[in-house]
Amino acid sequence: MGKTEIGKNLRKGSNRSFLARDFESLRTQMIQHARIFFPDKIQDFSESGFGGLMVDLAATVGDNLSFYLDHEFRELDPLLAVELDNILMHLKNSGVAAYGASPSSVDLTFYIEVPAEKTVTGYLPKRSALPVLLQGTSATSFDGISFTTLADLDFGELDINDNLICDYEVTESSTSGVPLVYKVSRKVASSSGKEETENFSIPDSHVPFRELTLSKEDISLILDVYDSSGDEYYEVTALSQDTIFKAVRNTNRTDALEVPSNIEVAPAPRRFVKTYRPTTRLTKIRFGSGDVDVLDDDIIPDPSDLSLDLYGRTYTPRFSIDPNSLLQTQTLGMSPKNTTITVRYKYGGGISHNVAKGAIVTLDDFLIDFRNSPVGTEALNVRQSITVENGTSAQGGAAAPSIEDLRVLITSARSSQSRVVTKEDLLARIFTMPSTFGRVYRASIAPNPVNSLSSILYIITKNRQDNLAIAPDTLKKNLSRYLNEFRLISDAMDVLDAQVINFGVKYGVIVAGNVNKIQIIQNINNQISNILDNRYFQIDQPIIIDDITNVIINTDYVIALTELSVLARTGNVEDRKYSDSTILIDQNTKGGIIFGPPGSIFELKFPENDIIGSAA
Amino acid sequence: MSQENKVYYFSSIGQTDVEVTDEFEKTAAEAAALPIGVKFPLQISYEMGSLVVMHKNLKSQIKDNFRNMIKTNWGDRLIHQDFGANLSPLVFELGTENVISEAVARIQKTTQKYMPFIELLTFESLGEPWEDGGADMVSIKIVYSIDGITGKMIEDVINIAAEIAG
Repeated sequence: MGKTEIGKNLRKGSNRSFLARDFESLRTQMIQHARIFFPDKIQDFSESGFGGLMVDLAATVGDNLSFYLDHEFRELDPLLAVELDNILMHLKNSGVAAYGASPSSVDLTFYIEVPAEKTVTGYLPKRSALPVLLQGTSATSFDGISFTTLADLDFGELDINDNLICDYEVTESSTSGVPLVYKVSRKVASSSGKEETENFSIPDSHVPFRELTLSKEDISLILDVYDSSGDEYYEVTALSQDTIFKAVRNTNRTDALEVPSNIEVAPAPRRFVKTYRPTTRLTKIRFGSGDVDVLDDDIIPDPSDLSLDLYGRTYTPRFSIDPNSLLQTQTLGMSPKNTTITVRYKYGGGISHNVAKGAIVTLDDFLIDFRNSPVGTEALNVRQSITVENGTSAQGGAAAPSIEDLRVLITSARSSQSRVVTKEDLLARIFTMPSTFGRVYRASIAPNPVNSLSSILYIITKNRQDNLAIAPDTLKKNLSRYLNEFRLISDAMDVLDAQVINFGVKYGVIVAGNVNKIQIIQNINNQISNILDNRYFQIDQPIIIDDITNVIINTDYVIALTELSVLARTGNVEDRKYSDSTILIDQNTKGGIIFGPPGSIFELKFPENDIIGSAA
Repeated sequence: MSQENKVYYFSSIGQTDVEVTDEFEKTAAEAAALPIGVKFPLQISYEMGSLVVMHKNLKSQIKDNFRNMIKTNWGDRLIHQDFGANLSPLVFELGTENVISEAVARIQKTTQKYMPFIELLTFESLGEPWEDGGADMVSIKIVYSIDGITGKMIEDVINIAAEIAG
């Protein structure tokens, strides 16, 4: 057998390993290969030799390829991806809508002074002088945060028994006690942020998926989009969604107060999607691909046409439908051309929008409508008497979430769908609720011990001081309405406030003799404050005492831990106001773990006061 | 009295048998030996089975490798960023005592790491920088021995090119 044939057989018989991936293993394998098959050609593979240089070069290329292969695989996983564009794509694929700073919400109370009139039941505010404050009326807080009303406020609205719904009290009477003037008040939901209108001139050329970038940052809501012909473009979550749910005012007086709007399915041939880019904080709207001049795009079937006629037979087979795609048109909505698009939207938000109680006192623009033809002077007096205040602090405002915050939502959103079925679906829905309705900070769902057919949803929000706070009623109402659109028809859910359990930590340590005790105590306090920050607490999450112990004993120069206790904090201490809810720590501690009652969340509210350490 | 001087012809001067045998054996041994590594500067080989001329002698291979290492600057080599003596930045200052100390330290450091079997003996900077083909050069002489290869010292004069500012 010749030398060449031996070489061939050797090569055939050799086991080639594909396990080498990094520089060292690739280099070792290549040298081994060369020494087996080419010992008569080259032997010097030391770092200082040319052979070593060439092997290093090849191993580096292999190492780089391995790195990029690994990198590409990591980028496929939303939790491991590091490139911003890929993370944003994962967010989009998972249905998590990125959003900017959230506005806060609060109920505004408007007051007017109205002349009295005598009715069959006695003296009442004069009905003809009771106005309607239209949606969009705005008021400003001391520090310049603007709040806009979210609905019309009708002072003259009556309940089913024809009684005024608004509150009123006599402020001026005659000497004989006859009421002359009433102070009438009523609340309406409002949210912070400013309103802006932008016009875009669209040339006479068809551009599929035309995009418009809105100029303001942190847009929380696109109120409406119209073209110059008066046609409205509807916001949809995906351009394939050709129908929308429309809220129509409920005119049935028997339940209009409880259910202000009815929902209707309406076709949306003109539609757009909104995308927010966290890096620029700008919002883009993107229209469909259809040309308004092409016939197919103009066919807008009435949804009622979809009901099937049973021609020639008395039965129909079962069939599947996509409720999001009833129109069956071939395009993804019309792209505007040769028109002017007018976009009206709200923008702005942040934790500074959680203004304190009583901070909103300045009325900016108010749109007032007298619908019962009052006397001119009375209308003028009513108009001049309008005042506003917020009886509670505004809450729900939050800074724009970071990319990491949004990434966390991907996992739960992936297992979600268009309806709420599982607990994960529900939490994903709550945390992706449009920010215009306020923001829930933590939510937890638990079975209802009383009613097995319903569940309890505990929620909590944050106030301006970044502390946990009971969610305002407006937010709860918004949440309830929002979830109602997604829940199964048989699901029932009670939305309750999570109890906040405030606590403190007391400890004693022995430290090394030659160190600054105050500095050590300060170090320990900072670390305890960090691990017990409310960022790390969920509803129903217990406190693990060993976590605190671990931090203390691992602090430099701490020799021994002599004392450690967790203390409940409640009521008012000095000028600090704690939650009214509390627990007996000893009775709720098992195996070094402190459990709160169902639906509670622990909070170290004032770490600078409530971490008490002593060093010996 | 004229005396005829004896004329010696170089062509008549031969080699002894021993010398001829030694040389033949040496040449035959080198031809039979397996190539170790590439010889620098690269030369086309006319030997069967080899594209470029290869070292077949360990001592000359080590000498070549050492020369290449001394002429390499830090960062030139992939992966081994500290490979080389990085003498180019020092070319214009190799006359001063401090810089020579630094050069010696650099040579020693890289040799200890990448060619630890070399025992460095002396370093000498040979005169002022000179120009060669547009590049400023300086010559250095290093004397060293190789553990286990030869008892003799090796003297090598290496030309170092100045760093070209980018």
